Amino acid sequence: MNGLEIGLGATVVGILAHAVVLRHLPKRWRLLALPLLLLTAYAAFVLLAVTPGDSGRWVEAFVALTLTLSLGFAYALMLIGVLYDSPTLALVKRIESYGTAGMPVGAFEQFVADHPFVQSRLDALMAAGEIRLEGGEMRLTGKATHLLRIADMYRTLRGGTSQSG
Amino acid sequence: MFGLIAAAFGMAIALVADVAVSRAGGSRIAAYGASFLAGFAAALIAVVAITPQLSFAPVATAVLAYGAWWFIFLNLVQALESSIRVRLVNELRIAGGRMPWSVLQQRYSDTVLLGLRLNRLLAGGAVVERNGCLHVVSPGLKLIAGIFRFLKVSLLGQDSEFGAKHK
Repeated sequence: MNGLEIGLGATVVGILAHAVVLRHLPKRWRLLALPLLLLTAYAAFVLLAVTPGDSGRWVEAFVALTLTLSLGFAYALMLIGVLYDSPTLALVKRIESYGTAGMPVGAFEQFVADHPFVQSRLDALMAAGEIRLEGGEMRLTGKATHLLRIADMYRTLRGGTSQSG
Repeated sequence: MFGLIAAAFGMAIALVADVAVSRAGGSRIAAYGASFLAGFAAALIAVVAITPQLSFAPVATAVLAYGAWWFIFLNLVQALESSIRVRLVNELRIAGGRMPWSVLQQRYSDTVLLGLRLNRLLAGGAVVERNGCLHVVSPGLKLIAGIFRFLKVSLLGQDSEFGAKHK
């Protein structure tokens, strides 16, 4: 098997295994389990498919690993949209639930009450250690600001304003 | 290996195209479209040009790797533009790393954030108001909402992280 076949095989097996166990996992393990399953599948494929004496085996193994992690990361980003509601899509779903009559504008308030997005995201940031609540103040603790600085630099390159968000 | 190198070249061209279209005043959609197509073409041309014995494997590797990397790029850029978590962290960063909880609650209430999303949908024409009622008119948005609803029910057994609350 070449790197493409190993990488695709490991990705498919890893993602299928994750899909099977996903709903049974505790919330904090739902994303963490994915790279573990992908790497396990990758290791199994490499052990089974790569011939020890083959001179090109390291290149093929590297190609396979890169494909597995790249496709797996893309799947993880899609999965975040599944695990955490998108405010826009949640609003679309609520409007659609009213059928052809449409959602009365006054019902927007109830939609807001039913979808505490800010608290959900704050809980996730606190669980990840990016922020903490201390003495009535919310404080930044994590490394997320580095990513925001990179985002600001890219935004400046594109010709936009320098602030993220 | 040639497939990965070609995909990396394609991503570099995709980033240049995104920056170029944005600086020329193009919309985000136009920039993303130009970025994807330019990068895809560059990856294909590169894999054909650099692979000594062209076969299916390096071309497929280039296409898959480029597709995954461009999707990651799109999601990261979009998240940095509109993610609630990013907004919250950025707000704290601007305030010097700390902010009274009551002030953060005022600035980032669900009413404010979801109101902004609704206004964006109305301004873009994806949602319209008729006789005091809101209607989704964008087929693309309906399709995406349907796909994600299917995935949530299939993978998680529920269609919302907030439980099944309906009218």
